[in-house]
Amino acid sequence: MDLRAQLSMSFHMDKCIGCHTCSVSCKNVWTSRRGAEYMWWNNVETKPGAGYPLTWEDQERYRGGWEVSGGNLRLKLLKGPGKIRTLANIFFQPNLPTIDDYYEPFTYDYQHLFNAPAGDDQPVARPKSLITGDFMEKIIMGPNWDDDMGGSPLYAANDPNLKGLSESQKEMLTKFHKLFFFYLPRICNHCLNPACVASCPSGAIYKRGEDGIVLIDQDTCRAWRFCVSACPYKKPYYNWANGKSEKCIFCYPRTETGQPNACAHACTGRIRFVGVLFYDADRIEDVAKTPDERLVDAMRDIILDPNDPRVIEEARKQGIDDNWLVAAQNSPAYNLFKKWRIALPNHPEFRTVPMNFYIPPLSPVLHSAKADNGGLFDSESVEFFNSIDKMRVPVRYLANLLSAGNEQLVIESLKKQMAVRLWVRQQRVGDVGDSAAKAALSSVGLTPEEAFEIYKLVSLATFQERFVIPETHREAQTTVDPRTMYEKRGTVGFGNKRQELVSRQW
Amino acid sequence: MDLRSCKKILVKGLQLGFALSLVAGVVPMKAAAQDAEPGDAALGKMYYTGEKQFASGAPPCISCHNAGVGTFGGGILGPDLTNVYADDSKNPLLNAAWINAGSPVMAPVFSNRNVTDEEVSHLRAFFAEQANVEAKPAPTGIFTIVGIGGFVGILIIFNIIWSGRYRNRNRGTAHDALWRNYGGKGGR
Repeated sequence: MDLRAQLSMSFHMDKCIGCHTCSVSCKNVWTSRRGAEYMWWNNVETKPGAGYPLTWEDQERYRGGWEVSGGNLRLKLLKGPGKIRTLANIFFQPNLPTIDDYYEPFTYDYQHLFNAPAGDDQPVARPKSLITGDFMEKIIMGPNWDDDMGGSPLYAANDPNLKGLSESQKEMLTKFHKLFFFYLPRICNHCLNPACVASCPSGAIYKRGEDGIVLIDQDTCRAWRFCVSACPYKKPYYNWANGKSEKCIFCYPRTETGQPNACAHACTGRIRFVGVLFYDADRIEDVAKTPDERLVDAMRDIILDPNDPRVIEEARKQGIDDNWLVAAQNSPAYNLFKKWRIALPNHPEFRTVPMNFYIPPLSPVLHSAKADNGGLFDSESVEFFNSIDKMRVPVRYLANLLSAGNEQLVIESLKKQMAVRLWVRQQRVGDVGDSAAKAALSSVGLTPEEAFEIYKLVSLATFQERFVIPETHREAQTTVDPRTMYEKRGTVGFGNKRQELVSRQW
Repeated sequence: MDLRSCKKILVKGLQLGFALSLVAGVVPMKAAAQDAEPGDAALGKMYYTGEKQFASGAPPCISCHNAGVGTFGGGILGPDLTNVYADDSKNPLLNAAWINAGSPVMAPVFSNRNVTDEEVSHLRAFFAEQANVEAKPAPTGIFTIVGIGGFVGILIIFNIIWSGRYRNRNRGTAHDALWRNYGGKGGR
């Protein structure tokens, strides 16, 4: 067993209102620099929808992620033996997204509103490109261009997750009484088997053992941009101003001091949870090779139980601090993903073993009419879960998005959420009936205590319960001397490495 | 930089090169004929060019030195050896001991694969003969021209093979693909 720790974020999609506060906080903290204007390390997409960059989930186009070929894992991008394809494509990658696939970043000429000469018309602020600095005739794309367009025949209808849906299920795009969409907030998944790390010809990307954060070394990056192509989530971005690639850093300067990430901290809907997971690094390859239908179960297997005495012993042997152990035992990520099995990874079939998890949305069942009359919901039905199959978002769609097509896992998660709602409603309102609520719970294998814990975490949790982030004890490690920390400021990172720093001895 | 100033620099460079080659041609004429060497000059030339290998398997002189032999001359890592025999300061260095251990550049190569006194005596005879021949600088100009020509040729071939590679990439942007699926004309 090779035990490592991983910081993991979970998202409660039912509560996401698509306000983009997370994206804006992230932009203000990290990507408001020249060359980074088009990057959204955190973005929120409307689903069904085409996303950002457009149709990023379509790996026929972008060829991101891994595939199993002859019993071996290989990058989809680098089909072929060894490094030949890397070399052949090193100056031109046919699958690299262009700026047109993202969008041309723009601002507005606000000064004109103040400086315009007096005239008959109101002055307007014209859009101005942040790349060329020229005025733009027309804004044709944005980072959330198809925001709230869940029924759009141009964007939503081209969502790759609609694959395998029947015609009547696809009516959620076109029929008003079935129309529904939800939001998918996305950051880098900080995968266990990251395709970006594997694809980098310079070896500039690494996954930190102590907290699982995947980072790009800005001094080693040589701008080959293989990470941009290889990542199936399209989360590394190329900075055209300084010629390096950048990606979400999981706000490590904040998490190392025990603070939540900027996106999670700012979230108005409080949909995000951050916690520690322990995993067994020896088994990553086997998990990534697992067939689609067992992939999520294999991912749950590789996550270790932090209350297991053998795991605790192993963690101590690996030099993991006690505060990390305690955090892992109180981790919302562990509870949601493994213990209660209600959170699911985003597109596990890309086989990067992503480490952010999503609680699938229980979409509303508003259309109360007899089911045999074409309605969605039969209010006279006595079945607890009859409406799950009638939900506006088809289970098939959620399974394509969250469980590599395994509908059982999505149904399990939805039924558990539903059972918790029934049970809590019985406690609070009392109109469900005690035996009915208990029967609903037991049919999904939850105890009342667990149901209360789930309810507490997803509905009432305080700041400290949602973000269980242990401090990293940098001062106990030898890599950075805190006495010279401030001398280094401005001399490493974005820009040239100064010679005196290379030769200096700490 | 406009075309005219480029041309001016090119002409200046050609003139300078011509003058240098004249000087280089005149200097060796002063070299006096040396005493006869005991070795065989023909054999020495074969050792020099590598036609005949040194007994120890050491690399031939031509890999690093020029001595006015062969169309392309020799390497340019080491100094030009055309006039090494006539040069009184360099002449004494033409012995097996110095070659095997004397120079920081040559020693690592030749200390493992020594040349023998006999082989060097043939080389001395060859260099003595070579000193009388008019020195000819290594024609690196041909290399440059062939190199540039080849590079341009390869670029042309690449351009033909992969013509329209960018335009054909996935048949346009993702937005174009969406519009195609929708049945429209394009995103613009």
